[in-house]
Amino acid sequence: MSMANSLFANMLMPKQALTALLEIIINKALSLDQHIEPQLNALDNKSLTLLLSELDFPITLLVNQNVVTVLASKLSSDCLIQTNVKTLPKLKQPELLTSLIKSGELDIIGDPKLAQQFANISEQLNIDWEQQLAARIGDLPAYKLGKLTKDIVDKVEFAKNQISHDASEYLLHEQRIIVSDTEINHFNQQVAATARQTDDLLQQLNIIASKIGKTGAQ
Amino acid sequence: MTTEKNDTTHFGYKTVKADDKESMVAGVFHSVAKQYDVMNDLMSFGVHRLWKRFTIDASGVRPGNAILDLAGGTGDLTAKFSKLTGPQGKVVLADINSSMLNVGRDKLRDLGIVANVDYVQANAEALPFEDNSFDIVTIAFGLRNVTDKDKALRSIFRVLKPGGRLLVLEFSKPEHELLNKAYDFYSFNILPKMGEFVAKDGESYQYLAESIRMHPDQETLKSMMDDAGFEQTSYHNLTGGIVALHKGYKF
Repeated sequence: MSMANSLFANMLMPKQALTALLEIIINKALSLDQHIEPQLNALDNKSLTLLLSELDFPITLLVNQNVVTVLASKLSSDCLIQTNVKTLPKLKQPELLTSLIKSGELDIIGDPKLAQQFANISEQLNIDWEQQLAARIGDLPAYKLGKLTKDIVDKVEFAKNQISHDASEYLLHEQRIIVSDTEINHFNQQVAATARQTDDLLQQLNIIASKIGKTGAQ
Repeated sequence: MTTEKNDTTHFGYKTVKADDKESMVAGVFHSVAKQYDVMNDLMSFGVHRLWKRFTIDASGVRPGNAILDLAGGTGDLTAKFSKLTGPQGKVVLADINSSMLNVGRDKLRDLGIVANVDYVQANAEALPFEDNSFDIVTIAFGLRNVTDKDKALRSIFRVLKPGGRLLVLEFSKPEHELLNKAYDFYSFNILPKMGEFVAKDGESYQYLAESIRMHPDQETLKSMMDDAGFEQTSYHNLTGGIVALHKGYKF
């Protein structure tokens, strides 16, 4: 570790700051969903440790009395997962686990079901943000703010799709950087035809070579 | 050695009889107990929570461990350890000061932490526990208030199980001179005024600043731990050495 990095870690304690922040966010989110309690109860006193390739320290999540404690260290061997941030969301799909392990993207020590239970909680979290907002700023402002947010999200989504579509059109037709499906198919057919012709040619060459060989032997 | 040959010791910058220090320190903590958590957040700008998190991360705690949170005060470490060690484990929150212990007990009970926590009023110099009782002993911001620190370290060593470890979280000496000067200014000019304003007790916070300066620096404390029998002793400076976490094992 360089001196600057060491000084940064020493002064600001980023690992502990990150786990403290995660703990606040996770518990706040959990407290806003009244239906998540049974899933949390099922994980009481169970822990999940993540060793992410992007971080140089483990992150452990422990459930205790419906509260999640986050540590920057290992705690138990209930379930330890070694992976990267990109693969984490795939843990929700049990059918993918074997292929992820085979490809080296994932390593699990302990009970893999625990990892899925943790993943399911994050998946099933259903927070009524408008209701939460209404409790703080009143029904009407919350409704208006909720509608405004929805409109903005819809517009952003529309703009995103439009830009993506326009960009494809531009690349395909204006700049001709991207080839169309028809062009790819045509190209593939040409490659196949060339391959056939090459095979024929090779076959003829082999026949000629064998004939020359026989003449030479006589 | 903190206790001098003529049976005197330090109480902040004052030299007092060793026998008197205990009651004088007790006076300070009886006075600040109720405002202790608020003042900790104010004085450290909340960073004390990260120092304590660092201690827990470094403790190597495992489910089922027996943990002694010595000078545990208002129970910040105990609250976390109680969850981490789980129903099979046990945490003892010990403090010499009954007011601090009462505040800690009320706070933890309000948080619903009851099952695996015991409360013991105890002097670190003569711990009322059997030999080889604990996997982990922590003392956070408490050792500098102990009259005979060497005796306390020996007492802690005795109650640790073989393989167990002691973690001492304590104010220490800043690594850089500039930080040291800024810290001095803050400690002696701002801290007592904050104490006066919030806890109506500037004198106790003047003692706090003085006691920090009189506490052994990083290397001295490490040597004291070695002398008490601890092995593989090491320390980690936090926030530029304003605080240090010392760790030592009993084998």
